[in-house]
Amino acid sequence: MKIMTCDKVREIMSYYLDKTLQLDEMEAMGHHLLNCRECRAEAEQLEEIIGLLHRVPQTPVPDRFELEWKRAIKKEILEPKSKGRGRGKPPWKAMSGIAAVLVVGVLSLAMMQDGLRSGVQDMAGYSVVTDAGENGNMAHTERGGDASTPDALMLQTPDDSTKGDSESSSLSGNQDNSGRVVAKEAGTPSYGSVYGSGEGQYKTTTYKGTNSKPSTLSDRNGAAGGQIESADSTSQNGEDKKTAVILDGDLSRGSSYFSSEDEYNEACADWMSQYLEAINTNDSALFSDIIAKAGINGYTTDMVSTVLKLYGDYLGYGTITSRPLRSNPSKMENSYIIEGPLHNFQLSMKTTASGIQVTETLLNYGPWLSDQMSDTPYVLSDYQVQKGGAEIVFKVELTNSQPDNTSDTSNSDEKQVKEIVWKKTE
Amino acid sequence: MVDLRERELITRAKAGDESCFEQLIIGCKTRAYNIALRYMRNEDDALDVLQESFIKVFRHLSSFKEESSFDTWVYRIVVNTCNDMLRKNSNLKKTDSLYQCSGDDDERMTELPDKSPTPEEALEQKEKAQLILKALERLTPEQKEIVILRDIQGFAYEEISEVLECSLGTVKSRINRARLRLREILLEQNRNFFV
Repeated sequence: MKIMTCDKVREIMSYYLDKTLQLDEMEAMGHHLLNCRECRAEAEQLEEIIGLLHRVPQTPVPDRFELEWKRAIKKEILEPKSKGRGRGKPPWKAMSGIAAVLVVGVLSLAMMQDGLRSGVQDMAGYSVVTDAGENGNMAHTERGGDASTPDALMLQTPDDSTKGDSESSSLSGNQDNSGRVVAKEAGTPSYGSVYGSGEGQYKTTTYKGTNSKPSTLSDRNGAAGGQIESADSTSQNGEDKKTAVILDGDLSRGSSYFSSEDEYNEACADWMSQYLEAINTNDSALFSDIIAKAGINGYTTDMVSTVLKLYGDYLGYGTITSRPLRSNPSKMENSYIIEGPLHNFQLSMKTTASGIQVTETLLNYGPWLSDQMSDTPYVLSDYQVQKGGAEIVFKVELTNSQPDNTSDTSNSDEKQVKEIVWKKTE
Repeated sequence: MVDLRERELITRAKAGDESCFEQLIIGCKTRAYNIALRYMRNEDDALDVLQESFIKVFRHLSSFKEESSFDTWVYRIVVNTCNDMLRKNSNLKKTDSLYQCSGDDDERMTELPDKSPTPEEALEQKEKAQLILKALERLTPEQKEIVILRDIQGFAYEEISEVLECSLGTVKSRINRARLRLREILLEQNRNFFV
């Protein structure tokens, strides 16, 4: 019979307890345990642990899951999340009755002149300031004013809450409604906002860092957060909501397109669902639709793709989800954390006279950053909103090849990192 | 491997037959939920994982190669979805825990059938189980998941190897280390735990 040492016994203890040892090993083990008090005690204790764990009963699936699941699978069957779909209008737009208006980032000058602005800061007069920087070998870009933004010059200043990870990580992430998003069809939005630009400067810094390249955008699966449930679409009485709301004298809420908090919440949820779907399926057309509906006119096809890339760089390539962060029902304002495998960022929504205004840094400033980088291959690794939104520091890693070149496994762990600073001009 | 009946259901589910899909998942739903519950430690997140996992299963049904059983494939997706969500939650420093929940939740989660001869022994076992489940949280993620799958859910080594997509040898050595570590943690917390 084999003789076993205590070390050997310890090494194969689990196999003994699970009765998966060969016969001769079982015998040797048994013999050792008879004569070694320490190993015997250990075996008995492990047996007790395993026994207690085995007896932890299965918890039944809560009843509420059935209803939620049925809605989810019905929606999945009716609206499969394939790349090919959605080239036309997303389903929520087909519904009449509820005219949800989405304004992403900026209210147009025209709307402001109508005196309907709400919380927009004037940031007209952009220019890009060139700066020799530390190394003296920067490229720089000069832009005249708003040449690439035919409409408004105004840009919604990111508020103090758009601080990406630094803020989101300090929050408790308490969810009032379990982060569930109700997808609901809505009517035709109106338009009227543009993204803006600002001044920027380059600074090249060499950092040591890990050589983790993001995978391709196509690695994203189609799960749009996994928290979407369909809702029966119900329409209002078909009256012209916009007119009705403008006549609304409820000045305590400021000018608002929505006549009720529920309507506002549904519109937000609807927009969020489409937004996430576009990102998770890397559907440029759908993404373009979403921001086009909000009237962001500066987005070319390239810009849409580039912003999706920025999202991937920063959030990570995997399922992107959202969860509620804060809400102020009386003001019809709320915010979400958009979560990815690497980072999170915050997206804020509030109501305006023409619909919902959405503020999100990469969405608003991504095209500007892309323009600064021109044809230089890069990966966005981080960004920081500073000075209350008056500055945004983008950190980009310059790459020699496209981000999806996974064969780039350079032994050097030094990367060339540039900081590109957007500054608000007075 | 997939049996004939299961294959038929899969074929029909792939063609969009919702009722066939329901039949496929009904057999693994409770176990899938309990895996998620042990990972996520709260009902809401576990339900989110369950729904997200089943949606993924439905979406990717066409890519199910039938090299493993359907259930094993589902559990693999559940485990991956749990790990995805835990990674995200860690960014937000989520601190809610099953063990910080109200007393009702604790009771539901750790209640043991009373097979002991005396009420005192039953209570002691219940308390010990609760302590072990708490100690589970101090294991590494890899160790914790192997204990969940093997000792709580009762998967065979081969099944675990398929779910986690690692070798049998890795499964066996991991479970051994995890159990030994669990014992160490319990003794650190209370030298008389096993007395």
